[in-house]
Amino acid sequence: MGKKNKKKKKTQDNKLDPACNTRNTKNLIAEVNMNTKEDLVSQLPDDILCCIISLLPFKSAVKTSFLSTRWRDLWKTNLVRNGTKEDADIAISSFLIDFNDLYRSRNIWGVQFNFHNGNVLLASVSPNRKLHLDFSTAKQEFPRQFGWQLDLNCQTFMYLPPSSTFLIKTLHLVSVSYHNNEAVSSLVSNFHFLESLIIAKCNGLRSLRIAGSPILGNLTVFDCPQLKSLHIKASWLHTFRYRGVLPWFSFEFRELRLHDAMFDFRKGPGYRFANHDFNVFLHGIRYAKKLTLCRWTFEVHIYNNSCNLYSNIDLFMLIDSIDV
Amino acid sequence: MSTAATADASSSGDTTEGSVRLLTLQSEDGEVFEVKETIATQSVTIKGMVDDDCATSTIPVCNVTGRTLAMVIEWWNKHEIGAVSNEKELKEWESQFDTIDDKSDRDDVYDLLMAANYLNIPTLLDCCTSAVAEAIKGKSTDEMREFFDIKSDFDEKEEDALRKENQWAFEN
Repeated sequence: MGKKNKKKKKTQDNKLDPACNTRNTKNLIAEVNMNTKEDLVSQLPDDILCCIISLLPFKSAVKTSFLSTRWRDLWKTNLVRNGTKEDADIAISSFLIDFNDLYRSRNIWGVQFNFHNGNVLLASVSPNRKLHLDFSTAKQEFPRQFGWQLDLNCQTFMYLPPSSTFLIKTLHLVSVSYHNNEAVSSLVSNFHFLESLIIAKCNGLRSLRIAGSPILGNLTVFDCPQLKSLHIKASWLHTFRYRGVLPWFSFEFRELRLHDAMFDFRKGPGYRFANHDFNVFLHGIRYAKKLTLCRWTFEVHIYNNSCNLYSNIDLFMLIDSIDV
Repeated sequence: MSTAATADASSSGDTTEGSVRLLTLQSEDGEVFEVKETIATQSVTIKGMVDDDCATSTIPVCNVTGRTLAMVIEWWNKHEIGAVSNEKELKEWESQFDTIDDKSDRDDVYDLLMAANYLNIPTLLDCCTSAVAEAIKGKSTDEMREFFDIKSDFDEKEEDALRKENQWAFEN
C-alpha cells in the first residue's frame, strides 16, 4: 500500500516538475520494499496464483496452503466444479480413468465438486497412487444413521486391468455418509490392488463391516462418532489403527497376525458395554506383535478389571493419544 | 531495455508510421510509449480496444510502471511474427525471463505478471508463472515464505489443524 501511495505522489510531482528523475523515485521505492519486505506475491490476483500452483508438483502445491490464509484454499481452486450429484459421478469416474495421463501431462491431481446444497466432494490423487475422497458436508444437521458393508475386491488377476486407475494402492475416505456409502462401495470394488484403507470422520456411521482382500495390509478407522460395531474380515491385515468411541469389535479370521495395532478409545464405549467385552476384544488381537493403547484404556479396562494381555506381545506401549 | 520504445510526451492519440498505425500507451508513472498497433495487439485487452475503436487517444496502462512497460514492449517486439528467425532463438531469448536468481529478478517477474495480467498477454503470463513455479517447486513451506517474503497470519492452532487436514498428501 505504501508503495502505491508513493507512486501516486510521484506522478503528481511529475506534473509539477517535469525535470524530476523517475529513476530516483524507483530506487526509493526499491529501498522501501527492501526495508519493509512487502509481500507482493500475495497481492497478485487469484487467477495468477492458481496458475502458478497448477504448475507445481503435487506436494509443493499442497504446501502452498500453509503459507498464509490468503493461500490456504488456492491450491484447490483449479479443481473446483459445480453441479449435481450425477455430474459429480461422471466427472469423478472420468477423472479416475484418465488420472494417470492427466497427471503426467498437466499436473492435474484432483477434482472438487461443489453441490448446490452446499456439500463438497474433493477427489484427489497423489503420485504414490493414493486416492483421497473427502465428502464434507456444509450442513450441520443431525446425520442420518447407516450401516455400511465394504467389500474389497478379492479377485486375483493373471493380467493387469486395462486402466491404470485400478492400480490405486491407498484409499483415504473422509466423511462418507448415508447418502453416498453405496456409491463409494461400488467404486471401491474396482480397486484390485488396494493395500491401505483409511476411513475417517464418517458421521452417522453406526456399523461398519469390512471384508478385505488378500493384499489389504493397513487399515485405519478414525473418529467416527456414532460407530457401535466394527466387523473386520481381513486375514492379511498387518497394521490396524483405531481412534474414536469403543465399538463392539468382531474379527472374522482364523489367524490375524497383526504386526502393529494401535487403539485409542479415550472417548469411551459407543454402546452398552460390559467388561467382558474387552476380554473378547483382547482375544481378537491376541497375535499382535506390537500393541499400543492409550493410557486411559489400559487403566480403566485392563488394570482395574484384571483383563488378560497376551504374552506373545513383543512391544507394549501406552500413549496419551494417537495422532494422525 | 527500452530501445524499442520511443518516449514522446507531446504525442497523443493515434499516429501512423508508413502504413502502420501507432498506438500511444502511458504507464502509471507517466512515461509515454508509441507502439505499432500490429505489435500491441498481442495484448488481448488492447486488441479489444482497437476492435471497438476505443484506441484513438492515449491508452493509460494502470498499475504498470514505465520500466515494466518497456520490458513488455520488448517482449512484444521479439514475439512479433518474423522478428526472430527460429523458435530456438526465441526460447533462448525468453530464458532471461524464466529464471529467478535473486529477489530483484523476482520483483521484476511480479511486475511483469501484473502487467501481463492487466494487458492479457498469454505468452508472457505463461512464461512468468512457470518462472515462479520453477523457483518454488521442491521448497519447504518456510523456504517458500522466505522466497516470497510472506509472513504467516495463522495462529499456531490454525496451522496445526491445517497441517493435520492435509497430512495425507505427504504420507507415502
